[in-house]
Amino acid sequence: MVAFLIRRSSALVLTLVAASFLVFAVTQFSPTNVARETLGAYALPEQVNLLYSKLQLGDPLVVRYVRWAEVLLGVRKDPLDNPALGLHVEEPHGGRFFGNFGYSTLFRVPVNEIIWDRLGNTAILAGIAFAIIVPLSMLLGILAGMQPDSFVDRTLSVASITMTSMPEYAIGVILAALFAVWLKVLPGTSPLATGTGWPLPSQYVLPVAVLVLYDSGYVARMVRASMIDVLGRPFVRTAILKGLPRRRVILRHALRNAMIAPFTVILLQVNWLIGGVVVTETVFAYPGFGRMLLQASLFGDISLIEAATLIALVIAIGTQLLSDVGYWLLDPQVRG
Amino acid sequence: MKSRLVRAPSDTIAGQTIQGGDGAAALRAAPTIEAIGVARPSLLKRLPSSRVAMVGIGIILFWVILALLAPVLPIPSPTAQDYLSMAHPGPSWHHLLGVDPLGRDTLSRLIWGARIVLVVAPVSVVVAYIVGCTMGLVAGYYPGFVDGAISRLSDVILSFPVVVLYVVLIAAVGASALNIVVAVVVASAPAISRIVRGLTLQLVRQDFVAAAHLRRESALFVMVVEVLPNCRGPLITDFCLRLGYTVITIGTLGFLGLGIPPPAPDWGGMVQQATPMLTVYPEMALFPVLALVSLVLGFNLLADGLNELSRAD
Repeated sequence: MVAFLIRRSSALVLTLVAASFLVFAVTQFSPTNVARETLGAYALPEQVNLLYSKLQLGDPLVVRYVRWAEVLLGVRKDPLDNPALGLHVEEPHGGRFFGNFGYSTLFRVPVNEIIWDRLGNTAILAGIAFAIIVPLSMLLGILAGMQPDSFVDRTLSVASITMTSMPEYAIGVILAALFAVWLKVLPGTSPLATGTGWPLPSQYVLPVAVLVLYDSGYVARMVRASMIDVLGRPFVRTAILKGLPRRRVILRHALRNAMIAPFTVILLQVNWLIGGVVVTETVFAYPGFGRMLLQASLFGDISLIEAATLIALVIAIGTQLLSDVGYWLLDPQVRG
Repeated sequence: MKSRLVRAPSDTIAGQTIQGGDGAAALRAAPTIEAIGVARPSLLKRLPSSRVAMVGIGIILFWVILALLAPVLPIPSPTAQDYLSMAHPGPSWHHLLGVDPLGRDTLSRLIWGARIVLVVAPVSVVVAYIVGCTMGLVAGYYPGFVDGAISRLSDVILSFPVVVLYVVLIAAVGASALNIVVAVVVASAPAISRIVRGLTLQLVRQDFVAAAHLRRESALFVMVVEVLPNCRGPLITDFCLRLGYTVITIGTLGFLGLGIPPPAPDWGGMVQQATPMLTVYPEMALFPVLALVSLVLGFNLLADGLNELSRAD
């Protein structure tokens, strides 16, 4: 187990390094752009050139990447955090600390001051959605898998193929038109002030509904397939033939084995959900992580893009690791 | 059993990128061990027996025909603004589906928009398939260093949340039809490569590949003539699912403001422009949404039908 964990964790770190380099290469492909984006649209060409040379942006990509990684790891001070530059960038935690993501040119604050708030907001939204998706899709999947081609099964497969054909924003627009415009029972957006949080719990209903509708059909189908597979195996036939009640066969024998495959699928949904929240938050103007990433990308806020992608990757790869460990614990065959 | 531990999550990732595509099942349905010499009507010939697939084809053809006829249909130009109609932008005799917030005819923009999405989506997926199949065949055929390098690269790209990858890529290189194709290729080629690699690993152990080696066929010949055609079963289903998914992606990018730049009639962009008016004129956003969902549904139904057919083998 320990060897397995070490091997997987080191693979995680390697993937993170490679992925962060890719993101760095894509966003900093043109170094003049970095200086230009940092100073904004109204800076003079001389100012851009000055910052370009002060930040040594002419260095090769790999050198700049190492410098960025050193700032992140707390070995080096953020080059922007230098009174001589006159950019008024100041890091309240001091110059060198682990996890220094630099300065956001879009929000005009250090990245760390904005990103964790937004991540928290998203965690609330995604957490509620997840807490509904998992039990709902398991219940539907088990019911459908117990009797393939029954009414429940047919309904589920039609519903899930329709839902997977709908992008999140399509579901969002349809739901908002239905409930916020025609029926007028739910608010369609969040308040304009981003710092004040959400005063009305009912404002969570539509965004959560979008994520739930978007995701549960897929998970339910996975649970269904796994359930059908397990119910056809010899040990279930043995259990039925030795006269156990059907209830007991399903609850005690089939269910545990049927959960092994969907378990990984459910955890990998976290990765999918991160993408889903980008769109859902944009539809409902939710002050979360996904919308922040989109704003940063559209604005060209390089530090914030890099920080947000890195965090999204840590979450995505972390859940992958978790699902591997869970798989290992659930399935004795893998351990043997 | 170690291989299973490593493989299980990767299969589900491949399944996940194509959302709704039962990726693992598609792999299981691989026609790897076929009886030699037993002629079986091809998948395409048996297609009419699947009602689901035919409905899907019907929806796709509907949009293809509309898109082809766009220049001859009696509709206004998709970029012409009718200022008078903006007072009452809802559906009317002049504008059957109403106008958008700039007074442009919605029906015309939908039909001309179909031309864009029906070119960009298939082109992206075909290019992604060319790249992905090449990567997968090479990785499966040359185990060791080559396979390791390709697989690690795929792992890195596949560990990104897909939408995040698209947003970062397109925002960095700028929004255009070509860049959308590039982004789709970067994001989906690794997933295709993973499917093809898995199939190739199984196929190269078969007798007919050994026979080809015995005939001293070149590696290229074995990969393209012997191995690739035998991968077609799972790939055909995946291709349709991926087409639908790419239509969604193009729409999503348009909605996020990263799609084909205005004034081109891009379905996702139309939804984005109409969303602020949602409380007043919901139909402005609903029509493009319905168009997009119907086309994706067409591809997904076709994929579902194909999947059922290939599973029945």
